[in-house]
Amino acid sequence: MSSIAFRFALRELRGGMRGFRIFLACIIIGVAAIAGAASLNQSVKAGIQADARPLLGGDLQIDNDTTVATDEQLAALRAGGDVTHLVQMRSMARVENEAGEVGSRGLIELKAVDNLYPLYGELTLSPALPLEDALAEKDGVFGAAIEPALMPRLNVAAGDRIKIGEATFQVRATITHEPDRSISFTTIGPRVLISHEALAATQLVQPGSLIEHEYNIRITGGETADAVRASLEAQFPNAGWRIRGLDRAAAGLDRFLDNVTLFLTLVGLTALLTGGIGVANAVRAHLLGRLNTIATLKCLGAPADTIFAIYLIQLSFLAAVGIVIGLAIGAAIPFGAAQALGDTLPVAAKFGLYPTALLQAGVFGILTAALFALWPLARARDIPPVALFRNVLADEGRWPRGKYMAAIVLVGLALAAFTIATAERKMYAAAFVGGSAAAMVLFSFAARGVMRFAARMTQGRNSPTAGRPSLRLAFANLYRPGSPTMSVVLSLGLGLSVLVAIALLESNLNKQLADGLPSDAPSMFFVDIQPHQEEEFRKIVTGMPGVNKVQTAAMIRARVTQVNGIPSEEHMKTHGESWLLRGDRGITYAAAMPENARLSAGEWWPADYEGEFLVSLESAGAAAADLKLGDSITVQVLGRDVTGKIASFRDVRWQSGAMNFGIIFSPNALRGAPAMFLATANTEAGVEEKIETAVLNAIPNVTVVQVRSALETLKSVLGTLSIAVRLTAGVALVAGALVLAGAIAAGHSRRIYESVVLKVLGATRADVLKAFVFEYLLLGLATGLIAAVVGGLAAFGVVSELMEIPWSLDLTVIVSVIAACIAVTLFAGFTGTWRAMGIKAAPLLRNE
Amino acid sequence: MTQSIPTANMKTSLERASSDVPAITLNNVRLTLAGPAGPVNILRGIDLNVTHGTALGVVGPSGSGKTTMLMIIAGLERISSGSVKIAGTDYAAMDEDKLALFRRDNIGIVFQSFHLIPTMNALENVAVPLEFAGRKDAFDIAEEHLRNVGLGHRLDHYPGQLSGGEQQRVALARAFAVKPKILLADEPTGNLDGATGHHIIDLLFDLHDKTGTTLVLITHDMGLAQKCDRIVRIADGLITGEGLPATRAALSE
Repeated sequence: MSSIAFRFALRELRGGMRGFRIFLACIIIGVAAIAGAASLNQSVKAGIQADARPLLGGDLQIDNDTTVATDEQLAALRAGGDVTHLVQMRSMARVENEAGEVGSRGLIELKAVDNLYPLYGELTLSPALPLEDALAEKDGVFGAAIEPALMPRLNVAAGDRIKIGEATFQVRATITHEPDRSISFTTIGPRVLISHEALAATQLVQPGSLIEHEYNIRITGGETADAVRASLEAQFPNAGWRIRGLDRAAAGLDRFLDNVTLFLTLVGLTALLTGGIGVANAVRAHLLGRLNTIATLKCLGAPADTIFAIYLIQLSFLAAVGIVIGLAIGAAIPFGAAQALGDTLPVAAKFGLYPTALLQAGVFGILTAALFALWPLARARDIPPVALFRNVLADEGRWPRGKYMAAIVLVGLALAAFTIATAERKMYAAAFVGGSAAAMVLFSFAARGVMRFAARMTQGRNSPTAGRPSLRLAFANLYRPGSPTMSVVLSLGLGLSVLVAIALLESNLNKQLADGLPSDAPSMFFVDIQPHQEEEFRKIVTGMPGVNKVQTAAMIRARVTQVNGIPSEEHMKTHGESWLLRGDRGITYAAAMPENARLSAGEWWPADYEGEFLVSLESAGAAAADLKLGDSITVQVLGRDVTGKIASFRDVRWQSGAMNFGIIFSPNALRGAPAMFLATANTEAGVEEKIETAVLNAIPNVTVVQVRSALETLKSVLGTLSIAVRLTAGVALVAGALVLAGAIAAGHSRRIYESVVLKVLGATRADVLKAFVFEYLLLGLATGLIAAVVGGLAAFGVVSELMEIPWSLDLTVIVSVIAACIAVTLFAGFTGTWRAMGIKAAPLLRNE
Repeated sequence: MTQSIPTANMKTSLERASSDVPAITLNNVRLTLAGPAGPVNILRGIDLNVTHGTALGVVGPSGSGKTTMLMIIAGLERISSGSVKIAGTDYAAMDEDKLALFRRDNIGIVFQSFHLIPTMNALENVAVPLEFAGRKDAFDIAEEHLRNVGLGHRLDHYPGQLSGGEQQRVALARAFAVKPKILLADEPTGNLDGATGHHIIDLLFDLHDKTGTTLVLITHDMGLAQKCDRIVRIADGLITGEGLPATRAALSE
């Protein structure tokens, strides 16, 4: 039997694949997108793996937060192998004139290194000096190696002098390649490399400064990295170290890469799902065209299962062709990306063929094709032989038989499981699976709604379409059996709503950036003001014109060690994780409650409070770890334990931009603790430069961030990013457009027939054209509206629930998407209609 | 069938009809189409005059040009040379849209395969030409015509829900709804069984008698043709015989 099926399947394919262009295109696009994303991911990951040691800076990296390792700790580290010590902080570099006045300046990422740096890989400088020479003190001046981007900003050339904190540096070289430079979107400025001695000379390192100490180990003793790590953790369980191994060599990049891959894969999957509807349409159209063949075969004695097998074989062959082409394109994508990305990646990606990536994409292709082809296939199996003698289409409403239904459900579940199993971020993938299933259901309901509405518009003598046959025909074509409404709303609607959601997210982010600052938000931040400078700072800034408000707060670096006398790690294990209790953070003390917060429970202490130490916590962070009023928490500040009783919880409006702290103690608890001051100023636009100059002239160690210019930078980054995101999301839209084109092409003969009959009844060409224009106008409008609503809801959810920024509805986005949808639908409809209009009536009206 | 259709267009047509202007005048009509193997002469000089109110039967073998002639009378096919005047109106100067409007007001057509619009119910199908003509009472007229063909109980049915005979009755109602000067019928019973076919033909002639419409009926069935006032025989693109039904022998050479 199966060999008969095979023979028949091949015989039927002799007609060529002309009817399958949309079918193939839908599969190719989705498979290519997924194969490309997975290949690219593996290429970059292979690159990271190959360069893991240089990227990490050693075999192990120990992050010691803001403090220097003790001698005992250092000895333990050195027992593992060679150790290099790095200090990183953000600061400002500036150029001063002879009078000591600050001229050009810029934010920098300062990194102090020792002579062992780098342990792996190579640091290349231009001119090609040894690092030691570049950083050494010569004639009383330290050397610095800087990233080339800093030169135009400071208007300096090699050999010129710059100042950082209290120290003067000579720019000796630019950095061509820094092996352990990590990719991060929080980088605020170019890199400046200096020595530890020079860092001390800047006097920027004070208790409470925002700095990071890192120790990298090159293991020499033949022990494994895991063994060294285990031994270090055993010796210093309370050091608060974060230890990274080679598996997380480029943790930031890794995560970024996984996010990008996830996004691309989901876009690819959306394209596949969207295209799946095109697959289903193509299969249905193909099988409808074979109605007579199938009925004839059955009359001649072919069992239903043979019929099923014939078309299953045929479609499997076609799907295989599509998948192979898609894989070939997908496999080529990383090579194209290699050209496009050039040096923007911090690692040299290893481009090549990655079979697992292709396998994954292939499986997605097979499952999707099967999911969407099975339904019409199973129905074809049940076409009765009498179809030959009746001029009716196969019953549209019937469901496939039990075992085929079961197969469809199984394939669907397999697709969902495979999506989640192959994703690095399972939660997101699961959310996507749930979301797209929900979207499909939502869209099919919406399509049904449109069809029902269209039906209502045509029924009855007093309906709005009475007396307007063109309009009635247009509405009728939206709900007639085999109408394109369902497939167009599902596919184009799905693609469009992704676009609407992205565009609205973007417009909200942009608006947030453009309105920039809520009127009460600070426009300048000042970091690392030393305690004795606070008063001077206040005096300078408050005296400047255009300054509306200045606020300062002490920031003390601290770590929560205990909750109710129990180690905080233990507490989190039983009560839940919270950022408040993890790691090293800035805390403060205050007499008055900060602005932009609201007490949600408890009471704030009086301004002159003395007594048991009290603490106020950010409410959401506290709730995550199940902290209650009256609980006690202990923080460690430079080796000293301070315990306070929780007196209140605050709801904090972080997005206001004003300073706020998760943990605030009553002043009596931390008075006298080593602190650095943070400050904010609310100013008129345009006075920031003057204020910055004045502050830096008097207090050169302060780092100044101008919010308005930072927002500008962020906006341009976001702009580039959003173009990339939109282009990628466009892939799903292309699949939707393909389905639209297919659905409209499928109605071509119907359109010709209708236009001929209308002409016979005395309709002018304008009347006929009106009917079709109305039809596509209505279809486009309905699809656009549904996409706008669904995409809008998705964006609203993300903006107000996840990002927690105020929602604003950008009507131009909505209107332009709906307009574009109508335009695309009309265009697709028109190209077909135009041909239909030109067809001569007479031949079609002859008796067969 | 007593209501009048008070459009200006109609009135002039009525005036013309009451005079001696023939309903149909074909003058040396030729039609040559480009075929794959050179030009094909479909009609080779047809001359035909049909007076108003006549029932004309057209017989002839398949491919002789009967349907083409019908399409030309309906304004659905352009001639290569000669002239066509329907109810005194010369088609030569009319473009596609003018022809459509003329057809709407003056001509009804019934086909072998019905050609109803599948997405509209019986009532709507019959109302379509009236709606195109801008008639406010389109649905009322349509309903009356459907009742006249015995389909008062099927107004809401779609073509797919009707039998072949019922579909053809809807088509008849649609053709007569605009009170056409001329009714063209191309093998209207070809797709129907004998009894149903007889019923349709009875209806057709009944409506013809009641309205005084000029009827052109293409048929293979000589028995059917005998019901007409006049019969022409077409073969190979030419009228080869003509006569009254009584002179049947003369036609069957």
